[in-house]
Amino acid sequence: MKTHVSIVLLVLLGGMGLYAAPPSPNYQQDFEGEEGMSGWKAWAQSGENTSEVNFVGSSSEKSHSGKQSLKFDLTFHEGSYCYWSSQALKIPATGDLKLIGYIYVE
Amino acid sequence: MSVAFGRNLDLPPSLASGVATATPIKQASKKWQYFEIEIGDNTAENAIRLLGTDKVYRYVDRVALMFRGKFQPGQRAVVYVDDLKVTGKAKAGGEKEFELLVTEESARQLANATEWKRRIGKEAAALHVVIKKSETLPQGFKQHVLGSAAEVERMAETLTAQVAGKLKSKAWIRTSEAVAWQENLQAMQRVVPNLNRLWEYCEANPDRKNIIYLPAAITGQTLLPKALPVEAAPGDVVELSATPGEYEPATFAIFSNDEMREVTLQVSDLKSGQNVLIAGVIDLRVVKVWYQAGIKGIGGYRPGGKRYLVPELLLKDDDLIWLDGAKQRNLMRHRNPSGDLEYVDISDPDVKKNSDVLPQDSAQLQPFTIPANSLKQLWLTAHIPKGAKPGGYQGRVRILVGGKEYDQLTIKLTVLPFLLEPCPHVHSFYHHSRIGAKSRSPFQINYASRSEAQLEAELRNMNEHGLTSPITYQEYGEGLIKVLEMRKRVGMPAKSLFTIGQRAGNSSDPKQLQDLQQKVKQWVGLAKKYGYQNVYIYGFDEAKGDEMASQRAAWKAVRDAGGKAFAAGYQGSFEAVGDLQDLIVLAYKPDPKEAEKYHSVGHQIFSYANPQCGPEVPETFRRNYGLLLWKSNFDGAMDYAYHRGFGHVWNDFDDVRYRDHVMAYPTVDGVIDTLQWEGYREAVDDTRYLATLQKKIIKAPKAKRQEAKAAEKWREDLDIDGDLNVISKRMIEWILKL
Repeated sequence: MKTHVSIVLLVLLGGMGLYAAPPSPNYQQDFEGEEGMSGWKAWAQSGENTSEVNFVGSSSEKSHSGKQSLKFDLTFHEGSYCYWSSQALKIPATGDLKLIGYIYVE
Repeated sequence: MSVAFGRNLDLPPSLASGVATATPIKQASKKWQYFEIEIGDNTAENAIRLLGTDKVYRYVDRVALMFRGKFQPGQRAVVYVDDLKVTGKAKAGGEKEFELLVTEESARQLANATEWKRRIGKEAAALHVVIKKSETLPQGFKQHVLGSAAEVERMAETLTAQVAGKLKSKAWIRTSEAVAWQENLQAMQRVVPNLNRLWEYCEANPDRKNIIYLPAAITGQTLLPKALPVEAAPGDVVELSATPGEYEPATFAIFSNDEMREVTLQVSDLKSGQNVLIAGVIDLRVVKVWYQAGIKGIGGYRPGGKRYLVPELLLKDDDLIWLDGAKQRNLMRHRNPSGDLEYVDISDPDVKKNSDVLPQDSAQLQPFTIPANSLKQLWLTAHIPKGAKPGGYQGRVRILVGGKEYDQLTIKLTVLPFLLEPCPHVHSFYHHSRIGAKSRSPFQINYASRSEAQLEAELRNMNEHGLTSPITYQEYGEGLIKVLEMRKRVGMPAKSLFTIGQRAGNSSDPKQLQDLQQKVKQWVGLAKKYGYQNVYIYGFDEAKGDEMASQRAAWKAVRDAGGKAFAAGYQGSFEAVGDLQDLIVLAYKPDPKEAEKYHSVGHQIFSYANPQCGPEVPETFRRNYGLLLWKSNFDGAMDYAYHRGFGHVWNDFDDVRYRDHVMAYPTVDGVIDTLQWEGYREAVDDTRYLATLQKKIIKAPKAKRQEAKAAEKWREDLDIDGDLNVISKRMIEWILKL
């Protein structure tokens, strides 16, 4: 066992500050401007060879409002699932909150 | 393939999370479509359902675009999303709740970390002593011991890094992550003393080429051929105890520096003075490690989309399944229609290849091979004859290689001087197997269609595992009579007959209800001839809300005709139909409050899906369907299912949604047991020991009142989350004292 590993851990625990940021119901993305992928990234897929990215990012080819939307252009090879997710959020799952949006499947 | 927008719900400080999506889109829409997903208070119900508590904070940690389905090579998807937004109002006071449930928990875990650091330091010092003295061991053993020590070091580093990483990204620790951390430390605390014993064993036996490990039989740890460290101490004496009539498992594992070919095992008679138990009371099988898919849900977690080596099957013939390590495939030996033996890939998602597979194990243990630097686990089941005289018996297992004496183990078997009380719970499975039914399955070996010999073998196997009341799917008629005869022959008690061969439905039409009543009367009449006191007719499976309530007229008709109504369901069922539902099979972790409700009207409550059948977690099955039932005041268990194939029942990779649910794998002439199934048998036995102790307490003579009082106190305070092997030993000690 390497004792220094444990010491490193405690330094991290102590230095991190335990008070987590409070949750917030504010979330909105319209993909306008120079956002690029806007914090979106590959989250999980069934295997290493599940999919290939042709393009993922802000695009002016289609938009529900404004001039841009977020475009996903993927080619699949095998497997059964492939998920892309937003930036990390902390939206409280209480009250009457809803996530709404628009999707266009070409 | 479909695409949908979704959200991921996090439930800190628990480890649970869950995905929900908007309606999936399966075809190109060529237009903008609006979607919405609720993320509000409905999640509280999910938390309770998943975790049995609402003491968690609930938040959405990401929104996601989800592509699902069986992807075809080259399939392309182009999707645009726009104007994502959260609308509505959050509940006031959420920040405070978050702080209470998450931040305070993290602070508590941080306080524990100081203590954990001290313990890590202690184990580290002990580990270094082992490493230092192992330098003098013969090369093969030195490599094994040092390899094990290196893995322990890696375990600590990974663990530490994971926790630090989690704090950095989320700034809180989930309770269950802290528990996992603690469990890993406990593993180190077990492993380091074992390594010390291993060193002593190697030092004392420098000429040996193999090591025999003696792990606990039913355990949460898995033994894999190449994985170090081995979570067991070395030794050469297998010890076990059992009562007359009982089945009791034990296990040992052989590690060899060199390849061992043509290994055979021979068991001697076991002797205790003049008393002899013939060698046949001990059954030996190899534990087969093979590739399986991921697990989701209670009882262990392995992410999907990968293949894992998992110990599961108990085989007489190790060569029934061959492993192709390079391609991570399971190959099964079978006789093809031409009569030739061949190996077929039973791990290919293209399941058509398995249509004609006819698995069959040997009746006798066949010679097997242990590759160099590899571990092989053997399984031993002692079945004590009912008339066996109590006492300490001793015998041996000879290990032969190529027919020559190689090594041996001593077996010390204690036959206890008392008999076990019957199990206080009803144990049942959903058992799809039927005779005489035309199979709709494309597979010769499937999970439902059976010959009479196959079905009787399955019933016998269940009865021998303490599962004495399986649900029959057989329809009314000649087949049913044969099934009832079989149940009698294999020794299943005739108390309650649970059937899905007759369903209640939800008609309220008087004519249809009259027909239903006639059928119920037929069932009740036939069952009575075989001694059954009750016939339970199944309702809608896992129904909720209006669907659940729509059965009231049908259930009333069933009951008026002398039958009883039962169905699987969820919390909330009692409030809707509890007055008419004679038995609920309640999903997830048993809740004593639910038991109280059903008992208040003289009805019963069974447990299921905690977990569903199948995951290779023998200790979980032992705990959750044994002492947990007792602690929760449940009347029984009815898990799904003895075997249920999603695709082919032997192929774990041919369904995108579910793994096969299997406790015993069907073959041409019976079944092949699994480790989880052996765990289930111990669940039944644990509660039988507890019932025996309870009776001893009640009937204790005056001279033993003090001990009886102490035993009752121990029973009341029993922590069922503790080490089940230790609990079992304590129960035996108390019974012997009284």
